[in-house]
Amino acid sequence: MQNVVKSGIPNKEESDFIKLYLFEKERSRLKNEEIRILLRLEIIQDRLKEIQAFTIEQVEHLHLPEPGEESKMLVKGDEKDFKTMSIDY
Amino acid sequence: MSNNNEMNTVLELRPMSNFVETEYIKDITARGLTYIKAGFPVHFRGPSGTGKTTVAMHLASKIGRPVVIIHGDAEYKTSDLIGSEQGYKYKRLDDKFIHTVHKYEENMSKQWVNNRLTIAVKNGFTLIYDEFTRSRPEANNILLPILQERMLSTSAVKEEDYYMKVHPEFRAIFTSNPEEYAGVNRTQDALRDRMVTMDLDHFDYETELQITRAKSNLSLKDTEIIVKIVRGLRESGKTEFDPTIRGSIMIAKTLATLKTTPSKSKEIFRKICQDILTSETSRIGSKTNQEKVKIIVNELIGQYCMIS
Repeated sequence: MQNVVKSGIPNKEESDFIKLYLFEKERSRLKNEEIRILLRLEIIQDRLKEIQAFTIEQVEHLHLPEPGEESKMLVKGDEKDFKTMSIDY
Repeated sequence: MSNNNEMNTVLELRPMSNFVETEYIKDITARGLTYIKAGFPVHFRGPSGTGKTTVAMHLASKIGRPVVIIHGDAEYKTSDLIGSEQGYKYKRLDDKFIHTVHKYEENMSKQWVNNRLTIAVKNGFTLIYDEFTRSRPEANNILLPILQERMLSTSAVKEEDYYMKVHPEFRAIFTSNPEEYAGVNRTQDALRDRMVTMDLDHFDYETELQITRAKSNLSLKDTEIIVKIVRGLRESGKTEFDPTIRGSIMIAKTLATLKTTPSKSKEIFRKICQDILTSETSRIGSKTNQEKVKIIVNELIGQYCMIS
Protein backbone atom coordinates (compact mmCIF):
# COMPACT_ATOMS: atom_id res chain seq x y z
CA MET A 1 0.00 0.00 0.00
CA GLN A 2 1.28 3.40 -0.85
CA ASN A 3 1.23 6.20 1.74
CA VAL A 4 1.07 9.71 0.43
CA VAL A 5 1.51 12.71 2.81
CA LYS A 6 0.47 16.27 2.02
CA SER A 7 3.93 17.74 2.44
CA GLY A 8 5.28 15.34 -0.12
CA ILE A 9 3.30 17.00 -2.91
CA PRO A 10 5.19 19.97 -4.45
CA ASN A 11 3.00 23.09 -4.35
CA LYS A 12 5.02 25.50 -6.46
CA GLU A 13 2.14 27.65 -7.54
CA GLU A 14 1.09 28.52 -4.02
CA SER A 15 4.69 29.26 -2.94
CA ASP A 16 5.35 31.75 -5.82
CA PHE A 17 2.12 33.63 -5.18
CA ILE A 18 3.01 34.08 -1.52
CA LYS A 19 6.52 35.25 -2.46
CA LEU A 20 5.17 37.75 -4.98
CA TYR A 21 2.67 39.04 -2.46
CA LEU A 22 5.32 39.47 0.21
CA PHE A 23 7.75 41.16 -2.22
CA GLU A 24 5.05 43.55 -3.35
CA LYS A 25 4.34 44.45 0.26
CA GLU A 26 8.03 44.96 0.97
CA ARG A 27 8.50 47.01 -2.21
CA SER A 28 5.71 49.35 -1.33
CA ARG A 29 7.02 49.71 2.23
CA LEU A 30 10.55 50.48 0.98
CA LYS A 31 9.23 52.96 -1.58
CA ASN A 32 7.40 54.84 1.15
CA GLU A 33 10.50 54.77 3.30
CA GLU A 34 12.66 56.04 0.42
CA ILE A 35 10.29 58.93 -0.26
CA ARG A 36 10.28 59.81 3.42
CA ILE A 37 14.07 59.72 3.64
CA LEU A 38 14.60 61.67 0.41
CA LEU A 39 12.24 64.35 1.63
CA ARG A 40 14.23 64.55 4.82
CA LEU A 41 17.51 64.57 2.85
CA GLU A 42 16.29 67.52 0.80
CA ILE A 43 15.47 69.45 3.95
CA ILE A 44 18.90 68.62 5.41
CA GLN A 45 20.74 69.67 2.24
CA ASP A 46 18.81 72.94 2.03
CA ARG A 47 19.74 73.67 5.61
CA LEU A 48 23.40 72.83 4.93
CA LYS A 49 23.39 75.21 1.96
CA GLU A 50 21.96 77.96 4.13
CA ILE A 51 24.66 77.40 6.74
CA GLN A 52 27.42 77.42 4.07
CA ALA A 53 26.14 80.62 2.47
CA PHE A 54 26.01 82.31 5.85
CA THR A 55 29.57 81.13 6.68
CA ILE A 56 31.00 82.44 3.37
CA GLU A 57 29.25 85.77 3.89
CA GLN A 58 30.68 86.09 7.38
CA VAL A 59 34.18 85.09 6.26
CA GLU A 60 34.10 87.75 3.53
CA HIS A 61 32.73 90.31 5.94
CA LEU A 62 35.43 89.64 8.52
CA HIS A 63 38.19 89.32 5.85
CA LEU A 64 39.21 86.00 7.30
CA PRO A 65 40.88 83.36 5.14
CA GLU A 66 38.62 80.47 4.33
CA PRO A 67 39.44 77.30 6.19
CA GLY A 68 42.33 75.47 4.51
CA GLU A 69 43.23 78.41 2.32
CA GLU A 70 46.90 79.29 2.35
CA SER A 71 47.94 82.86 2.73
CA LYS A 72 48.62 84.45 -0.62
CA MET A 73 50.73 87.35 -1.68
CA LEU A 74 48.23 89.64 -3.35
CA VAL A 75 48.74 92.44 -5.76
CA LYS A 76 46.81 95.64 -5.38
CA GLY A 77 43.35 96.06 -6.82
CA ASP A 78 41.20 93.22 -7.95
CA GLU A 79 43.99 90.90 -9.03
CA LYS A 80 43.50 88.30 -6.36
CA ASP A 81 44.94 84.83 -6.85
CA PHE A 82 48.13 86.20 -8.37
CA LYS A 83 51.54 85.97 -6.85
CA THR A 84 53.85 88.85 -7.70
CA MET A 85 57.49 88.45 -8.51
CA SER A 86 59.69 91.51 -8.49
CA ILE A 87 62.07 91.96 -11.39
CA ASP A 88 64.75 94.63 -11.35
CA TYR A 89 65.80 95.95 -14.72
CA MET B 1 36.35 82.03 -18.58
CA SER B 2 37.13 79.34 -16.05
CA ASN B 3 39.66 80.13 -13.43
CA ASN B 4 42.94 78.36 -13.35
CA ASN B 5 43.44 75.86 -10.63
CA GLU B 6 46.99 76.88 -10.07
CA MET B 7 48.05 80.26 -8.84
CA ASN B 8 49.65 82.43 -11.52
CA THR B 9 52.62 84.69 -11.15
CA VAL B 10 52.68 88.23 -12.43
CA LEU B 11 55.66 90.54 -12.47
CA GLU B 12 56.30 93.79 -10.74
CA LEU B 13 59.04 95.67 -12.56
CA ARG B 14 61.31 97.99 -10.63
CA PRO B 15 64.24 100.04 -11.90
CA MET B 16 67.56 99.07 -10.34
CA SER B 17 69.20 101.60 -8.08
CA ASN B 18 71.76 102.30 -10.83
CA PHE B 19 69.15 102.60 -13.60
CA VAL B 20 70.12 105.49 -15.83
CA GLU B 21 67.34 107.74 -17.00
CA THR B 22 68.91 110.27 -19.32
CA GLU B 23 67.01 112.78 -21.44
CA TYR B 24 67.07 110.27 -24.30
CA ILE B 25 65.43 107.54 -22.19
CA LYS B 26 62.96 110.04 -20.69
CA ASP B 27 61.96 111.22 -24.15
CA ILE B 28 61.34 107.69 -25.49
CA THR B 29 59.43 106.67 -22.36
CA ALA B 30 57.30 109.82 -22.37
CA ARG B 31 56.37 109.34 -26.03
CA GLY B 32 55.62 105.67 -25.47
CA LEU B 33 53.45 106.48 -22.47
CA THR B 34 51.51 109.01 -24.51
CA TYR B 35 50.66 106.38 -27.14
CA ILE B 36 49.75 103.88 -24.43
CA LYS B 37 47.44 106.41 -22.76
CA ALA B 38 45.84 107.09 -26.12
CA GLY B 39 45.03 103.39 -26.25
CA PHE B 40 47.61 102.19 -28.77
CA PRO B 41 50.05 99.35 -28.33
CA VAL B 42 53.69 100.41 -28.63
CA HIS B 43 56.30 98.50 -30.59
CA PHE B 44 60.01 99.12 -30.01
CA ARG B 45 61.99 98.03 -33.04
CA GLY B 46 65.73 98.09 -33.36
CA PRO B 47 68.95 96.11 -33.60
CA SER B 48 70.49 94.25 -30.69
CA GLY B 49 71.86 96.41 -27.88
CA THR B 50 69.59 99.39 -28.42
CA GLY B 51 67.74 98.89 -25.14
CA LYS B 52 64.39 97.72 -26.53
CA THR B 53 63.57 95.32 -23.71
CA THR B 54 64.79 97.66 -20.97
CA VAL B 55 62.80 100.57 -22.39
CA ALA B 56 59.75 98.30 -22.70
CA MET B 57 60.15 97.27 -19.05
CA HIS B 58 60.62 100.88 -17.99
CA LEU B 59 57.49 101.91 -19.86
CA ALA B 60 55.56 99.01 -18.31
CA SER B 61 56.67 100.03 -14.83
CA LYS B 62 55.45 103.58 -15.55
CA ILE B 63 52.01 102.20 -16.47
CA GLY B 64 51.86 100.86 -12.93
CA ARG B 65 49.94 97.64 -13.52
CA PRO B 66 51.16 94.07 -12.98
CA VAL B 67 53.19 92.85 -15.92
CA VAL B 68 53.12 89.65 -17.93
CA ILE B 69 56.10 88.94 -20.19
CA ILE B 70 56.07 86.60 -23.17
CA HIS B 71 59.25 85.87 -25.09
CA GLY B 72 58.60 85.14 -28.76
CA ASP B 73 59.39 81.61 -29.86
CA ALA B 74 58.98 79.79 -33.18
CA GLU B 75 57.50 76.81 -31.34
CA TYR B 76 54.57 78.85 -30.01
CA LYS B 77 51.07 77.99 -31.13
CA THR B 78 48.00 80.11 -30.42
CA SER B 79 47.24 77.86 -27.44
CA ASP B 80 50.65 78.71 -25.93
CA LEU B 81 49.50 82.32 -25.83
CA ILE B 82 45.84 82.13 -24.87
CA GLY B 83 45.54 78.72 -23.26
CA SER B 84 43.76 75.51 -24.06
CA GLU B 85 41.57 72.79 -22.70
CA GLN B 86 43.89 70.53 -20.83
CA GLY B 87 42.67 67.28 -19.31
CA TYR B 88 39.41 66.70 -17.56
CA LYS B 89 37.93 67.74 -14.30
CA TYR B 90 36.20 64.81 -12.68
CA LYS B 91 33.89 65.38 -9.77
CA ARG B 92 32.21 62.61 -7.81
CA LEU B 93 30.03 63.34 -4.87
CA ASP B 94 29.05 60.46 -2.61
CA ASP B 95 26.61 61.79 -0.09
CA LYS B 96 26.47 59.35 2.83
CA PHE B 97 24.76 61.64 5.23
CA ILE B 98 22.40 58.84 6.08
CA HIS B 99 24.31 55.59 6.01
CA THR B 100 21.60 53.61 4.27
CA VAL B 101 21.22 56.21 1.53
CA HIS B 102 23.91 56.75 -1.07
CA LYS B 103 23.37 59.67 -3.36
CA TYR B 104 25.92 59.81 -6.18
CA GLU B 105 26.62 62.76 -8.44
CA GLU B 106 29.26 62.40 -11.12
CA ASN B 107 30.41 65.16 -13.41
CA MET B 108 33.23 65.17 -15.96
CA SER B 109 34.11 68.34 -17.83
CA LYS B 110 37.03 69.59 -19.91
CA GLN B 111 39.21 72.02 -18.04
CA TRP B 112 40.20 75.29 -19.68
CA VAL B 113 43.59 76.58 -18.56
CA ASN B 114 44.44 80.20 -19.29
CA ASN B 115 47.83 81.11 -20.63
CA ARG B 116 49.68 84.37 -20.15
CA LEU B 117 48.05 86.41 -22.90
CA THR B 118 44.57 85.54 -21.64
CA ILE B 119 45.59 86.29 -18.06
CA ALA B 120 46.79 89.76 -19.11
CA VAL B 121 43.73 90.41 -21.29
CA LYS B 122 41.27 89.25 -18.65
CA ASN B 123 42.79 91.07 -15.70
CA GLY B 124 43.97 94.25 -17.40
CA PHE B 125 47.69 93.62 -16.95
CA THR B 126 50.44 95.07 -19.09
CA LEU B 127 51.77 92.62 -21.64
CA ILE B 128 55.37 92.79 -22.82
CA TYR B 129 55.75 90.58 -25.86
CA ASP B 130 59.51 90.53 -26.24
CA GLU B 131 60.91 89.66 -29.69
CA PHE B 132 57.42 88.84 -30.89
CA THR B 133 58.59 88.27 -34.48
CA ARG B 134 60.30 85.09 -33.30
CA SER B 135 56.82 83.55 -32.98
CA ARG B 136 55.20 82.45 -36.21
CA PRO B 137 52.69 84.97 -37.67
CA GLU B 138 49.81 82.46 -37.46
CA ALA B 139 50.38 82.12 -33.72
CA ASN B 140 50.25 85.90 -33.38
CA ASN B 141 46.98 86.18 -35.34
CA ILE B 142 45.06 86.03 -32.08
CA LEU B 143 46.44 89.49 -31.26
CA LEU B 144 44.51 91.13 -34.12
CA PRO B 145 41.02 91.06 -32.53
CA ILE B 146 42.53 91.80 -29.12
CA LEU B 147 44.15 95.00 -30.35
CA GLN B 148 41.39 96.11 -32.71
CA GLU B 149 38.01 94.84 -31.55
CA ARG B 150 39.16 94.55 -27.92
CA MET B 151 37.88 90.99 -27.70
CA LEU B 152 39.44 87.58 -27.47
CA SER B 153 37.95 84.52 -29.11
CA THR B 154 38.99 81.07 -28.02
CA SER B 155 38.48 77.53 -29.21
CA ALA B 156 36.97 76.46 -25.92
CA VAL B 157 34.21 73.86 -25.96
CA LYS B 158 32.10 75.50 -23.29
CA GLU B 159 29.86 78.26 -24.58
CA GLU B 160 30.75 80.67 -21.79
CA ASP B 161 34.41 80.47 -22.82
CA TYR B 162 33.98 81.39 -26.50
CA TYR B 163 34.53 85.11 -26.17
CA MET B 164 36.09 87.43 -23.67
CA LYS B 165 36.07 91.20 -23.53
CA VAL B 166 39.48 92.78 -23.16
CA HIS B 167 39.88 94.49 -19.79
CA PRO B 168 39.96 98.29 -20.26
CA GLU B 169 43.32 98.51 -18.49
CA PHE B 170 45.01 95.96 -20.72
CA ARG B 171 48.06 97.41 -22.48
CA ALA B 172 50.56 95.81 -24.82
CA ILE B 173 54.20 96.60 -25.52
CA PHE B 174 56.08 94.76 -28.24
CA THR B 175 59.75 94.56 -29.14
CA SER B 176 61.40 93.16 -32.25
CA ASN B 177 64.75 93.09 -33.97
CA PRO B 178 64.44 93.32 -37.76
CA GLU B 179 68.16 92.58 -38.23
CA GLU B 180 68.17 89.29 -36.37
CA TYR B 181 69.04 86.51 -38.77
CA ALA B 182 67.95 83.44 -36.80
CA GLY B 183 64.36 82.32 -36.34
CA VAL B 184 62.70 85.62 -37.10
CA ASN B 185 59.50 86.18 -39.08
CA ARG B 186 58.37 89.33 -40.78
CA THR B 187 55.77 91.36 -38.92
CA GLN B 188 52.26 90.91 -40.30
CA ASP B 189 51.04 94.08 -41.95
CA ALA B 190 47.73 93.89 -40.11
CA LEU B 191 49.49 93.63 -36.77
CA ARG B 192 52.05 96.33 -37.55
CA ASP B 193 49.20 98.61 -38.61
CA ARG B 194 47.55 98.27 -35.21
CA MET B 195 50.54 99.46 -33.18
CA VAL B 196 52.76 102.50 -32.96
CA THR B 197 56.28 101.48 -33.93
CA MET B 198 59.18 103.41 -32.45
CA ASP B 199 62.53 102.70 -34.07
CA LEU B 200 65.38 102.65 -31.60
CA ASP B 201 68.98 103.18 -32.58
CA HIS B 202 72.13 102.93 -30.50
CA PHE B 203 72.09 105.16 -27.44
CA ASP B 204 73.46 108.66 -27.60
CA TYR B 205 76.92 109.29 -26.13
CA GLU B 206 75.68 110.61 -22.79
CA THR B 207 73.32 107.67 -22.19
CA GLU B 208 75.92 105.09 -23.22
CA LEU B 209 78.45 106.70 -20.91
CA GLN B 210 76.09 106.86 -17.94
CA ILE B 211 74.86 103.29 -18.37
CA THR B 212 78.39 101.87 -18.75
CA ARG B 213 79.55 103.79 -15.73
CA ALA B 214 76.57 102.71 -13.63
CA LYS B 215 77.05 99.05 -14.55
CA SER B 216 80.81 98.95 -13.94
CA ASN B 217 81.44 101.58 -11.25
CA LEU B 218 84.53 102.76 -13.12
CA SER B 219 85.53 106.41 -12.92
CA LEU B 220 84.00 108.83 -15.40
CA LYS B 221 87.39 109.39 -17.08
CA ASP B 222 88.02 105.65 -17.60
CA THR B 223 84.48 105.04 -18.79
CA GLU B 224 84.78 107.87 -21.30
CA ILE B 225 87.81 106.21 -22.92
CA ILE B 226 86.02 102.87 -23.26
CA VAL B 227 82.83 104.38 -24.66
CA LYS B 228 84.78 106.51 -27.13
CA ILE B 229 86.70 103.45 -28.40
CA VAL B 230 83.48 101.42 -28.85
CA ARG B 231 81.65 104.28 -30.51
CA GLY B 232 84.70 105.00 -32.68
CA LEU B 233 84.65 101.42 -33.96
CA ARG B 234 80.86 101.64 -34.52
CA GLU B 235 81.14 104.89 -36.42
CA SER B 236 84.02 103.62 -38.57
CA GLY B 237 81.46 101.58 -40.51
CA LYS B 238 84.11 99.02 -41.38
CA THR B 239 82.84 96.12 -39.31
CA GLU B 240 80.38 93.38 -40.22
CA PHE B 241 78.16 94.37 -37.25
CA ASP B 242 78.13 97.46 -35.10
CA PRO B 243 79.47 96.96 -31.59
CA THR B 244 76.72 97.71 -29.07
CA ILE B 245 76.59 99.20 -25.61
CA ARG B 246 77.05 95.65 -24.32
CA GLY B 247 80.62 95.84 -25.68
CA SER B 248 81.28 98.97 -23.59
CA ILE B 249 79.76 97.35 -20.50
CA MET B 250 81.75 94.12 -20.99
CA ILE B 251 85.06 95.95 -21.33
CA ALA B 252 84.30 98.23 -18.37
CA LYS B 253 83.18 95.38 -16.11
CA THR B 254 86.23 93.27 -17.02
CA LEU B 255 88.55 96.16 -16.20
CA ALA B 256 86.71 96.71 -12.91
CA THR B 257 87.11 93.00 -12.07
CA LEU B 258 90.85 93.19 -12.80
CA LYS B 259 91.03 96.48 -10.85
CA THR B 260 92.89 98.07 -13.73
CA THR B 261 92.37 101.17 -15.86
CA PRO B 262 92.42 101.80 -19.60
CA SER B 263 95.90 102.73 -20.71
CA LYS B 264 97.79 102.68 -23.97
CA SER B 265 100.75 101.01 -22.30
CA LYS B 266 98.72 98.16 -20.76
CA GLU B 267 98.70 95.17 -23.09
CA ILE B 268 95.88 93.53 -21.12
CA PHE B 269 93.57 96.48 -21.89
CA ARG B 270 94.38 96.22 -25.59
CA LYS B 271 93.70 92.43 -25.54
CA ILE B 272 90.39 92.85 -23.70
CA CYS B 273 89.19 95.47 -26.19
CA GLN B 274 90.22 93.30 -29.13
CA ASP B 275 88.64 90.11 -27.76
CA ILE B 276 85.33 91.69 -26.86
CA LEU B 277 84.97 93.92 -29.88
CA THR B 278 85.99 91.19 -32.32
CA SER B 279 83.34 88.83 -30.96
CA GLU B 280 80.76 91.64 -30.97
CA THR B 281 81.30 92.58 -34.58
CA SER B 282 81.50 89.26 -36.35
CA ARG B 283 79.08 86.40 -36.67
CA ILE B 284 81.46 83.77 -38.01
CA GLY B 285 84.74 85.12 -36.62
CA SER B 286 86.51 85.65 -39.95
CA LYS B 287 90.24 86.38 -39.87
CA THR B 288 89.75 89.44 -42.08
CA ASN B 289 87.30 90.95 -39.61
CA GLN B 290 89.58 90.15 -36.67
CA GLU B 291 92.52 91.88 -38.29
CA LYS B 292 90.40 94.85 -39.30
CA VAL B 293 89.02 95.26 -35.76
CA LYS B 294 92.50 94.93 -34.22
CA ILE B 295 93.88 97.69 -36.42
CA ILE B 296 90.96 100.06 -35.76
CA VAL B 297 90.95 99.33 -32.00
CA ASN B 298 94.71 99.98 -31.81
CA GLU B 299 94.23 103.30 -33.58
CA LEU B 300 91.37 104.27 -31.27
CA ILE B 301 93.32 103.30 -28.14
CA GLY B 302 96.19 105.44 -29.38
CA GLN B 303 93.83 108.32 -30.09
CA TYR B 304 91.76 108.36 -26.90
CA CYS B 305 94.23 107.08 -24.33
CA MET B 306 96.64 109.82 -25.49
CA ILE B 307 94.06 112.51 -24.97
CA SER B 308 93.24 111.18 -21.52
